[in-house]
Amino acid sequence: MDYVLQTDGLKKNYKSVPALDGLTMHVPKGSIYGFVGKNGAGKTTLLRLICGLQNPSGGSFNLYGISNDSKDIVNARRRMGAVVETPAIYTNMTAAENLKQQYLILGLPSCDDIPELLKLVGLENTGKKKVKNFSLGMKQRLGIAIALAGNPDFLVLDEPVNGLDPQGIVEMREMILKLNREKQITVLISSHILDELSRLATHYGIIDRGRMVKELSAEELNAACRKCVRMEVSNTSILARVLDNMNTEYKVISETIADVFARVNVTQLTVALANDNCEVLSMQERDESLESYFISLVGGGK
Amino acid sequence: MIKMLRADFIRLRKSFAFRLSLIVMLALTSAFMFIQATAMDYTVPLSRVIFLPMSMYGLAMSAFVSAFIGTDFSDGFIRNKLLTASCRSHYAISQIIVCFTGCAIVYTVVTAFAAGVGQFFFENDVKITDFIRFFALGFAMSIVTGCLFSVITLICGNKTHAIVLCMGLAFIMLVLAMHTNSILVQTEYKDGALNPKYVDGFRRGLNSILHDINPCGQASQLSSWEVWHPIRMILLDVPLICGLSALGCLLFSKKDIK
Amino acid sequence: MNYPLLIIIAILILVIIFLLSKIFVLRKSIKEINHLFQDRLTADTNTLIHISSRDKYALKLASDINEQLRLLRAERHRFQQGDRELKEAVTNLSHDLRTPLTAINGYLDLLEKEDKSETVERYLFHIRNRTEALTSLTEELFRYSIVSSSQTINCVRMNLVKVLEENLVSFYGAMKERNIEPEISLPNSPVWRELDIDAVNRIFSNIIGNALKYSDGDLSVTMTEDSTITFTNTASNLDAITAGRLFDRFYTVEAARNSTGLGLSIAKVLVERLGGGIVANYVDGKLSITIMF
Repeated sequence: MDYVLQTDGLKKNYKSVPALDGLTMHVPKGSIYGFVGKNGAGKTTLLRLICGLQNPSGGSFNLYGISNDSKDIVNARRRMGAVVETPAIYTNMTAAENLKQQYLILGLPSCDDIPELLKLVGLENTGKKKVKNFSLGMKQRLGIAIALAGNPDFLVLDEPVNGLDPQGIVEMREMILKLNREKQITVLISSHILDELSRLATHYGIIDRGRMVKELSAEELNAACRKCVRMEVSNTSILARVLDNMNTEYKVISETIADVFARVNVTQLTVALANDNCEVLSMQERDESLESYFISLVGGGK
Repeated sequence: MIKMLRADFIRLRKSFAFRLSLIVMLALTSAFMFIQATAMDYTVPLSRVIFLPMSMYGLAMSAFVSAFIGTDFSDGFIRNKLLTASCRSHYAISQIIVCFTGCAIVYTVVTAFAAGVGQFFFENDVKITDFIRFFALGFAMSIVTGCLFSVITLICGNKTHAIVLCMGLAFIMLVLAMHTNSILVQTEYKDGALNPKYVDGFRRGLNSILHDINPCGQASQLSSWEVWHPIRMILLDVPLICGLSALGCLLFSKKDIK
Repeated sequence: MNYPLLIIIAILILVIIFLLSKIFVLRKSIKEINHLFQDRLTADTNTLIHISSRDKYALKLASDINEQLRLLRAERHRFQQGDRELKEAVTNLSHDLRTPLTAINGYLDLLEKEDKSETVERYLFHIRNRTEALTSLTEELFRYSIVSSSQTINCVRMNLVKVLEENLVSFYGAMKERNIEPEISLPNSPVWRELDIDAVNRIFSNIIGNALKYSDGDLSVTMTEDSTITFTNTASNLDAITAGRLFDRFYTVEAARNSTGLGLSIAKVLVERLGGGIVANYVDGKLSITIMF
């Protein structure tokens, strides 16, 4: 399996506070990797390390097989485009001027495709407007345009849908999918909005307190999100007792609603409940949501 | 590095901080010339006017350099530059070069303006050789100023902090220069008797070196049209420029960037 | 002091410095174009050429090359896409062909058990033959699609002599059946090469099997110490031109016989992928297939 990025026990300390504590991750080539974690879990720190903005305190990583210690890491980084934290754009210049700066830094020979790039991200009508007058969505899009300027193979996006309106979110999603499909760009997206990620990602990496909790592909995630039967009964405490006797896993939601995480024999259950004067009002099959799976892994809210 | 230099020079040309500092310096020059021409009791010769604006040079340049480099940090574009740079020091050196070039340009324009316009209003007692000599010394001073403030801004990493730090330092340097100047101008004999304020020996040498190292001290020497140790000044400037740049690159390479 | 002269000299020095730096940057850009062009031609990357110079002509050169690189990459992508789709289609097709074939074979088995006239029995025999040919063709098709797709080559150090011996031994039964006594000449000491074992086995078995099919009754296998292996057999129904076309896909000499042409073609693909060469020669009525590793 070809990996664009592999990290091996990456550590980063800020004044003896560990932001990353032995993080190991693998980003396969051609995938859209969703990097999930709570705020402060270490997502942005990892991105900063990969981009060379900071040096790791321990561990190592390699990009396209080139280790971060070697001098060739510069060539590997040349194949990357990144938007880390906030979009990196000059507020006192127009969109085209910002792109021109990026083109000059990269040494690209032709500035003819700047209008095309602006069109790709949806900023073709900004003209002479300076970035300080842009909306948040427009700034995000310009940041991505700058990241795409050098025709990268690997795109790193730090919470790209942060602050976008629903239309913007859809457009962003379409753009990422298009880039992945048509230009075979591997995308690493860090986010804490699982819903949006679930529509995009082919692989997931769940990070908590600076460590990788679990890495899995989209298929594995679908398999892991447990199906349950949501039952509406007249009294969940009776249901609880009956289910305990049957050694079935369940979760009580309210006085009348509970989720049962196993295939139950409906007849047996209903008869047992009826014997204890509990009525079954409805039964529904549900998929465990991504959020609850994530919380179950990370033990959130403590 | 060549690519980054090119991009930064274009940014310099468009930079608001650069244009503003140039305009402010020119305005100050005009104001000084106006005051000297009208408000003084005695006729002021041209030589005393040409480098007069240089007293404010340190302050203006500190504002310009820290704002210029600081924008890279505050707008975040430094992240893009570091991603594509072959080496961190390339970025640092590129910024230092662009900044001292900007400082040198401001210096040249202001001095040329003062010399050119002042010709019509002041008695011209300037010898060309002297002017070229002092111009060169002032050029070195401008480069040292640019280096110093660039390095401080690079190490600081935050635009507002850097501006405050640099301008504060510029102010301190100005005060220091005035202090050392007042010590050094005391003649050995005053009104026929030994001047008690006269400093001699080791302390005088120390003060003299301090005065020469300090760019504001150099500026004050230039504005009085008398440089006491020009060779020593250059010999101090060169290692200062190289040393500051090297230190800046080293510290910047180790720095964590957000 | 002659001021005008000094000033002219100073200006000239500046001009020289400027020109020298321009030359330096241009040369650097030429080196960059050279190096990056080589790299981008073969690497699987979206990135293109970048240069330090801003000279008009250097930029035009670089951007023209970039344009062509872009087109090349699009073409490559299209080709790979098409290739992948084709392979997928072939694989699926060969899978799908198996189902009705199995059914046909099943019904043929049932028919065998029924009472039938002599004509019917004869017809059934031919149908059975043709069905077997069809089955083996489907198998070859399926295997070909797998071979052509990029597979990981796992090169290990192996003794070529030993592997050849093992393959010859495995054909012992088939050779005995056709009364072929092979003349084998192998080196006494091991010949070590870094090759993929599965691929080498496949190559040898395809060629030996092919030789057995076409041979008039003899087979000779020789191997030299520089790992050149030659399989020779008398094949009177060939000529020089046909020998050259043996490696073409699906080319088969005797269409009526129970064979497909894919075996040698697969062998060629594998040999070349391992970095070797294979040729067929027809001299004095004898067909020789030579492999060099």
